[in-house]
Amino acid sequence: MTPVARVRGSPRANRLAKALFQDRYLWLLAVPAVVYYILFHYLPMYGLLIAFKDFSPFLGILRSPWVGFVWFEQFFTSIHFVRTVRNTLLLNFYGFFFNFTVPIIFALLLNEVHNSLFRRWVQTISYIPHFVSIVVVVGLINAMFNTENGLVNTVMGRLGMETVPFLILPGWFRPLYIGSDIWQHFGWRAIIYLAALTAIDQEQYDAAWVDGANRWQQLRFITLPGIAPTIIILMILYVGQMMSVGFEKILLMYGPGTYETADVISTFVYRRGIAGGDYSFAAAAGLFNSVINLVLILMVNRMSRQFTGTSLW
Amino acid sequence: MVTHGRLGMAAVAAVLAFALAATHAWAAGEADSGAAGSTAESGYTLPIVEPGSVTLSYAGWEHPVGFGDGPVWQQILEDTGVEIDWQVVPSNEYTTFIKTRIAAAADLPDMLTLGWNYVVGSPVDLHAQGATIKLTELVNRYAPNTKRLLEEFTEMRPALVAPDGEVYATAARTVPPISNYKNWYVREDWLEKLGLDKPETLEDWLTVAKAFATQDPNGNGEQDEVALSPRTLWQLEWFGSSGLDLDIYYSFGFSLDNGVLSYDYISPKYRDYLAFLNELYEAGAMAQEVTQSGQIQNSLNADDRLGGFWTGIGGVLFRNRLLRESDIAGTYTWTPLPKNPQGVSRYVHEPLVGAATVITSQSKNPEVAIKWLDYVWASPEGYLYANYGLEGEHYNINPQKSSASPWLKHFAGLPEYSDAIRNNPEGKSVQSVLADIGSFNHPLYADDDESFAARFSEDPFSYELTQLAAPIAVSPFPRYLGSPEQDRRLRALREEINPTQEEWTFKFITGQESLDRFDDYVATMKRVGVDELVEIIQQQHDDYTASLR
Repeated sequence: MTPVARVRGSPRANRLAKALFQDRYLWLLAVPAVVYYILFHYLPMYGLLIAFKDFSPFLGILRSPWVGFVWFEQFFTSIHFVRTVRNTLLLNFYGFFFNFTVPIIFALLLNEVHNSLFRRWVQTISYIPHFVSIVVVVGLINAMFNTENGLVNTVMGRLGMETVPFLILPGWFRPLYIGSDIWQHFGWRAIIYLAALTAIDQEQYDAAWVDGANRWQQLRFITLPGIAPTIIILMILYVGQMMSVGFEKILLMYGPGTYETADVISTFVYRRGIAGGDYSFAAAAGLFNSVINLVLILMVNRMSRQFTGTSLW
Repeated sequence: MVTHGRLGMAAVAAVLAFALAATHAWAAGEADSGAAGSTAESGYTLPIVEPGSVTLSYAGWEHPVGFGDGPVWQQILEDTGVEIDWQVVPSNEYTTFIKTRIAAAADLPDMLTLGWNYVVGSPVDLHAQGATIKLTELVNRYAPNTKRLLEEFTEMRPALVAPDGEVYATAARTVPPISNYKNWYVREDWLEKLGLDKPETLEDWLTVAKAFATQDPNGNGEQDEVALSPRTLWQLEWFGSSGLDLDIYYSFGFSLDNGVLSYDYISPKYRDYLAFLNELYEAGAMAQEVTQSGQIQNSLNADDRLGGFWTGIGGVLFRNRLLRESDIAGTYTWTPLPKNPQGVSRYVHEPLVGAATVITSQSKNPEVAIKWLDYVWASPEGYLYANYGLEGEHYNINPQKSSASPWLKHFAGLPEYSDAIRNNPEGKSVQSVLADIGSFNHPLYADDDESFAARFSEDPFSYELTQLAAPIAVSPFPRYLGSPEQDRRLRALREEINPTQEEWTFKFITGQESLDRFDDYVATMKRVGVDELVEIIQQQHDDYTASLR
């Protein structure tokens, strides 16, 4: 007698139990991930309450008094609000555009290389920077771009050009920030596309070649459509974490000269909320950040479903 | 609001303990009156408790040798009878360590040190949250030395006593003005080479810095010298603080004139200060980034390109050693504080109190804790242990002289380091011998200029500096302990004001903004709440002044 037979109740519940039992090993496999999400992502959400409370660690989350929207009001009326929201959106938008396209182009180019030894060599070298810590990357940026002994300014000096204080000019913050991001991650991000590329049926290329398609046409009509679902899923996932990335790096990189373009919601929250000890304020601003994020991901998912038929849900 | 059960219990326990201990202390005082010197006047006698009967826990940062080890702490244990459970971690981990425990609000030690600049939290705020207790009553009853110090050495009061008149913290980790003298140092040989004297006014600084930047003092044929290299914009405020009488630097903008407070970061004098820095910047006397990291400073230092920098005494020794190791025949020397237009200079020092210790609400023996802190930190015995070591071995009392230290005000004689410690057979400095035995430089250490001067009396360089700084030392505007509501408002305001001030200052210095827009800057500062900031600080100042009466 199977356990399923013992379950009584509506036929629907029976069906569910049966389905659960049938897939029991798959469920077992999923349990750690599910537990992880419940424990570390869903349960902590009740802590969001402190965004509407005057939180004190000694009173605890539940006992701290309610204050309504005070923190949101403070955040929205801050002189930094408009600027940080604008910077957050712009930095993420540019970052998204370049960080997303460069790995795809890189993967497509690498795919056209036929010498496999060279290809593997390039791939390894390109993803190694991914494992370098942010602190080191920012150290490298400072060492490369400072005006006293930085490589870039030294070379520019030798070529008879004026030195440029890249690190303090608001106009140079975004290029440096995003450029270093691309350098650090494009190889790593390309791996998944390279994997998707190997899954494309080789016969399609052979058939296209027989039909007289050139390399460009093969790329356009076989390769790209072949990895399009991967691209779109990755895009939606990327948008999902867009608003939260890069805060440590900005904190390490910015200074009074570049606040104008570098100060984002998360750095503002860090200064005021974490360093200043206003946990409720930090929670309120963080919640606002997450709401923007959710709106963005819903938007992209919907657009993607409408235009390409591929979507997360 | 519901009363917290645990806190309620603690309060009851504390009241009971008070009552019991009060009768006990009175009885003990009666029995031993006059027996054990200065500590027996009132409050407690030694040993504080039956040896081994009480263990207190203390959280602070680690001492180089380790608390509890070393003959000094053994001696203190013998004197007091109080066992200590030392919950200490390295200083760079301390904030995280203790903040997590406070946030968890459980299992707090009896006593904890609040970290430099009270990073752990304001004692008033911690009390409002229920983490710590007020000490007024305890100090009055059980801590005669602490009480005396608070009355006589008023400069440290603002950090320990709130404007409401209550004592919230004790055992101030003091930062004596002269021994912590920091200023700008320049290359002495470059001055000589260019035929210049040490700069005395801001005008002189312009001349010297421009000469460093343009006349190639390192002689390599390139204009690659960085005349002035600050780590932060704030280090530059040294110039304005003395040379323009601006209450910036360690006063952080607060200027008091006949009891009326104003904010010097928006004063017309601040515009002059910015013009001075802008002129330096335009002349190439500072790096294009203005501020430079320690790493870059080190490489400039070793490449014979660093002209001037801001540091304390230890910092200049390091830079001079780096010159020697790089085979550069030169030295850095101190510069006098710039004279203001009236020809007067002043040394605005760091706030006297860098950290302090509180007693937590979870302590079962608050009266033992306050007595122990009184003995270790405030009593002449504790001061001598911390600054001089053990009598007979590390120091002797010279009865002919008397001490100027607030800790030894009612003490006969002057402690003098013994020859054994002065001429250490292994060639160790007085400081490191002291550190080895467990005194010196721990978080409960009452540091004082007199012992500093004694330790450094044979080092001409440091002696020169003490002679220079002592007569012109000025206290900074105090940092008051505000109410939790004021604190919270100030935190929010500072987060709006400070970045705005920094950003504009930086742009004025680099010329990204013209000084013609100074009025716009002031208007922006008003928009982000400077007036409210001044109003709150003025309130704290008035309340504090009233509480003294």
